[in-house]
Amino acid sequence: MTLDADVIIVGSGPAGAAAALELSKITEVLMLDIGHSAPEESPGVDRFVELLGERLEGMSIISEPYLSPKLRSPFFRYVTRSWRELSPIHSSDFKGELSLALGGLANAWGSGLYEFDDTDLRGFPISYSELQPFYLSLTKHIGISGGGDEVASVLGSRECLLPPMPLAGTLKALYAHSQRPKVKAFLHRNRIHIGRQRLGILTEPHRGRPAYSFDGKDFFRPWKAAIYNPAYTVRELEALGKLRFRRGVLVKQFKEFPDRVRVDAVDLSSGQPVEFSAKRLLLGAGAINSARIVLQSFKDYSTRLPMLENPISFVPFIHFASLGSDSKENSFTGAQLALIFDGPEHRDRVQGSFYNLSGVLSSDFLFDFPFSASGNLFCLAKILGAMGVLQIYYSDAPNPASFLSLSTEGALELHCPARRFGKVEGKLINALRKMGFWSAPFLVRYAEGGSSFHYAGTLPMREANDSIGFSTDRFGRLNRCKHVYVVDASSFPLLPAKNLSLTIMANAMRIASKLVL
Amino acid sequence: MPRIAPGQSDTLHLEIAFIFREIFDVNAQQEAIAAYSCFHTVYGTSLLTRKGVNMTKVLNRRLDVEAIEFFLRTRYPGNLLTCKLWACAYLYEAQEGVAPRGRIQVRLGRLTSPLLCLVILTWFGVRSAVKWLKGGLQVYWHHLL
Ligand SMILES: Cc1cc2nc3c(=O)[nH]c(=O)nc-3n(C[C@H](O)[C@H](O)[C@H](O)COP(=O)(O)OP(=O)(O)OC[C@H]3O[C@@H](n4cnc5c(N)ncnc54)[C@H](O)[C@@H]3O)c2cc1C
Repeated sequence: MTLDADVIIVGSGPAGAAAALELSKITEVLMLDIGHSAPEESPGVDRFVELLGERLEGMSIISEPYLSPKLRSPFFRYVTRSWRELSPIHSSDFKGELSLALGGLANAWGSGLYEFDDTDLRGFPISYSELQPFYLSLTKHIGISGGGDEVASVLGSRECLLPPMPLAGTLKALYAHSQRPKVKAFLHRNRIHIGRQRLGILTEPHRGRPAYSFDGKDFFRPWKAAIYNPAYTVRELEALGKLRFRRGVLVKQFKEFPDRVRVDAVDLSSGQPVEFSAKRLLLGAGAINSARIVLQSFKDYSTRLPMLENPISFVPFIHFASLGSDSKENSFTGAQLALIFDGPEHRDRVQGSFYNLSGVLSSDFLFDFPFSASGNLFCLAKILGAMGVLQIYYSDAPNPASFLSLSTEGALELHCPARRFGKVEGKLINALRKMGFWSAPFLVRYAEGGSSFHYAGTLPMREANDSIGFSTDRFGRLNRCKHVYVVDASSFPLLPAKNLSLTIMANAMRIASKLVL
Repeated sequence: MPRIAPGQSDTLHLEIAFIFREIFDVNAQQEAIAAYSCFHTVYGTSLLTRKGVNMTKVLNRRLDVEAIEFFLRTRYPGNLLTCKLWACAYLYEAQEGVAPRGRIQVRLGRLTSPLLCLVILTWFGVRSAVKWLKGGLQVYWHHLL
């Protein structure tokens, strides 16, 4: 039996790309993926098509459930294309999205790239020191920008960081207020820390990619070179001849043999089954799809796997002193500031990200104000620029209400109820008021299940590999298997309240580095 | 963009022209008109389930579309007229390349003072209350539902 490669990786998202980056040092890798990709750049494109789309998908929130602006944006539709048909989920409460694109969900991410410290890794069978070398090499590879303030130490090491993204608008004012000695003392007393974001966005040219420049198109033009996308790593390794990328392949299951593992897939262009063999298989299809492949491989239709995601809430706020300022001021449209809260109101650390409301279509907010149309239009022009949103993430741990299992038809049954907290929001609203920003508890919104897009925990890693259930050992190896490894967040036993993708990548590299071929 | 039945397209053309004039004080261009028709085709099924309003009467009698929409929004959130107005705001944004502006706001020009903004907001509050009453009267007087 000839092997197609030493190692097969399923998935080209952050997990798959990082594993490939590490493995490329020792062997050539075969990467299997559905691999939808961004439409070709067309410079003279019509503004209607660019902003709203051929089928007006950009204004879908008028009559369909809320979808985050980037995923709704016409040229970003490839990110979530066809997952409902190709990897179906039956659920009454999962309102999230999956991606079958080259680069995975990271095509639409906000690029907040944080490290997990030992506090975050409580309950993991690994420690920060094991991830640290990979965090550092990723920081160099990706080009991560960030600040050196008090929050920086919680977000990770400062080594090799690029300068932080410039602040603008309301958030510039918020940062300035938070740094005043009296306010800072108040925040500290209340265990609130506000600082600059850590982002996978270049503030200086880096490894052939340009520095970020604001053009108001972050939500409308995918693959902006300054904003890191794992697809860049895949393309780079492909160009160096270290990776073979096989697009249009939907992996269904694997089968182990004493000396190899076989991957059974479907070639989507012909609809025919295809097989691939290798010494090792690395699953990086995302926490939900990797779990599906594993359950399918064992034809297990009864086991309930745990499902973790960060519950989130949104606190809108307004800075009255900024009323009348332009909402389209030149500013990065993603999160500009980070917040860490570690007070007694919640059992674990809570993370927040501050956003301004520029960069998306103002019409999204037309009916968020309480006036007749003319009044609301006035608000869009003169009030929106003074507003911001604090997005709050909570940690998650396995609980009986959140789980997934495989049905005999191949769809996943997923339960992922929304959760509401509230005490922390109240505390943060008080802090905002102290800084001169107004908000109120009735404005707080809680996101529906799945809408954090931070999925994890389906195949948790344990100190020792147990022989029952589905889990992995500390090196990512799936129990009951010899050649199959899990490199995405499936293996996180807990989910701290932090952006998880940099840790997905560092952990994937750690696992890949220990692989014996 | 998807096609739409010829008769319906004429009504939709009149509708968007009316809403653009009344609310934004600009003319709807060909592309916006075509996209407005497309909106009704693409989202038609969902729009049919919304609380409707007799648009022919609103157009023929040149009623106060802003007042009627505001009244309906408070009574029937997500009603058809609110959806139409929202669609027009998106189409304005795509047509003009800037955030949608109301006719009053065009006159307010480059207002940047926070205090003045607050005063104007208060005025919009009072104006909205008057619009709500007017909208309610027009809805029942002209049997728009
Ligand atoms: C709007 C948005 C904002 C976000 N912001 C942030 C942020 O700021 N910071 C952060 O850390 N995270 C963020 N995330 C989350 C982040 O994108 C995910 O955590 C990350 O992409 C997960 O990486 P992954 O490689 O495990 O899986 P994915 O990104 O889901 O990639 C899975 C890959 O596997 C492939 N695949 C799946 N099933 C199969 C199959 N059966 N056969 C073959 N291939 C398959 C897919 O095509 C894809 O390439 C955000 C996500 C979204 C949507």
